[in-house]
Amino acid sequence: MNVARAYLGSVPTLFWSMVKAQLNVVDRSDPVQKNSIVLKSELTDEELVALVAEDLDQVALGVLYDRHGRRILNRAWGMVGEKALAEDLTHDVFLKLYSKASKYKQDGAFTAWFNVLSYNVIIDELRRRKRMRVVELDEDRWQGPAYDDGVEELQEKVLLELQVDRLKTVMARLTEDERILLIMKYQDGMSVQEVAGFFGIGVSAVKMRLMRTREKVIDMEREAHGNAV
Amino acid sequence: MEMQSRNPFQEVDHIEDPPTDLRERILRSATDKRGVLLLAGLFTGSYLSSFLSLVVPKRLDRSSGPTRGDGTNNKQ
Repeated sequence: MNVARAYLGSVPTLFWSMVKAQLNVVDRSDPVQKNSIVLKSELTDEELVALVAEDLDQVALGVLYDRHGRRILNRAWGMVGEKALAEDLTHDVFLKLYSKASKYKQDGAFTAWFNVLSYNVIIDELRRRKRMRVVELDEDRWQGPAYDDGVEELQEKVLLELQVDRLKTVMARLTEDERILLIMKYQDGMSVQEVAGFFGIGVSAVKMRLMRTREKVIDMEREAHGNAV
Repeated sequence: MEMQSRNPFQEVDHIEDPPTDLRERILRSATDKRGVLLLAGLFTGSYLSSFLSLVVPKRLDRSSGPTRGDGTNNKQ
């Protein structure tokens, strides 16, 4: 009787271990899996994505999170300006990476592909929440200076000389689409052409929007420090 | 030597306390997703093959010669 009870008692444990094995649940306390994490942390990003694509490998996904999670969270936070939503978006970005890893072409750089994927997830979610307008321009209503390379240079000089704390304050007062443009251009180093391609709009439209955003930042600085800017 | 220009955008770090549970949350969701993907694959695979076996006519075994009107061929 006791033997039968012990046998029956072990069934749920056995069943759960089979489910865990089937689902490839990551258990960091398991020495075998811990060893696997150590081994996989030596692989390149491209090799890890291949493992995710082929086997839905969660250890590989975890290693990719360890490498890129902070950058993605920081970017999302900069774009949306709030911690909880930035964490949700980072979660969604990595889950999208998990299900779309097979779309990655091994001949391209992983970071560039992942940047685009993360922008797509973040911007789609912001659009879904109606928090971000499609980047459209109302150039006719623009009262500031006309686009000019000289103006761009001067504006960039002011922008890039801002102290980090001041930049955070200024960014918090911009709209989400303005923040996203600045982050794409100055944090991730995307060219105007790349930004235009991403949104499917013209290069001149992006240049104009960037100029207006920089001008807005300079106005905030003038407001804070007088005409010394 | 030219001084390297600074870029405050690359110095900005919003994360003072990295969230400890985000990694676990992502992996937990990945486990759920894996289950759904495997299940979907299982259903798609078995149903698709059953469906195809119904709609796609059986290939004629050309090596056995021409098929007669009653479905048999010379070798049957």
